[in-house]
Amino acid sequence: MKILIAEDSSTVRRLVASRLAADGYQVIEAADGEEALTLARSEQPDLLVLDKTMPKYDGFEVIRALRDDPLTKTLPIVMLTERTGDDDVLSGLSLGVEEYMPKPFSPHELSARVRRVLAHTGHAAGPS
Amino acid sequence: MPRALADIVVGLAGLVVLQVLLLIVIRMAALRRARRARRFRPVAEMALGSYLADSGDEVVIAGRGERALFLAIAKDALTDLRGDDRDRLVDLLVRLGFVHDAMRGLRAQRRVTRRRAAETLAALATPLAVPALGDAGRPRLPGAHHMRLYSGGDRR
Repeated sequence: MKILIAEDSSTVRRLVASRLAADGYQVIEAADGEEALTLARSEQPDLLVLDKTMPKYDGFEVIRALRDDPLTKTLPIVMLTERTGDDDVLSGLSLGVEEYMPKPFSPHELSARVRRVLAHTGHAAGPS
Repeated sequence: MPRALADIVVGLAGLVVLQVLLLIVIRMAALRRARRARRFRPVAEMALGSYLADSGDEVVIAGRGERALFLAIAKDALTDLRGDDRDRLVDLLVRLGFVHDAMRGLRAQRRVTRRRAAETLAALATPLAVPALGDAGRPRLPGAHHMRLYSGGDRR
């Protein structure tokens, strides 16, 4: 099962990638919003872990572009964000974000949420 | 008079040449440091990620430059981590001697070294460092008070 991680901090990206790879997922990484969109379309991942604050396109712009594209319209998204304000959560939920993960976060908890989202979206078989 | 003027001109020209050489040396050292950081950063991030995911070997760091860079990356990671993952990273830094180094740094002669040591201990917020912070010169360490509060040291 393939997961795309879009996060501009290389440290956080590698922490998340290592955790998900250890869980048996195939991981691909994007360092900004534009790369995330390109990889989401070309690689067709099963889930996207998306940082809200990124260069080029922020998290919400990425979601809007993905939802407008028939290829990526239903891609499940777990959003990482520094801000946990109601407005952000509501905006994300209205755009179809499955899970919110406020920073500071635990990669173990993120992994559990990824599993749960995948199970809810019909990937109950797990990582492999 | 013209001879004295010529001497001054030669002297000034010599100073300019020396300054240019010094700038070149400083620039080259900075480029070397940046190149080393670019090479080491992905390795250190991968090592940290593997350690926290229980999927890698023991983290090994060699040399002062790599230690400093590893600590900077780990402090970055600490700001985004919480729970067991954060505790495990702090535990790793303790085992690699960073807390010991920082506690020693609190007694350093240079103010910048003491400040960096206090900042490191504040970022790690480990109770292990509380006695060292108590012993350190309080008026000289603005970070020490914050660190004691954060780690619960003032409540003991």
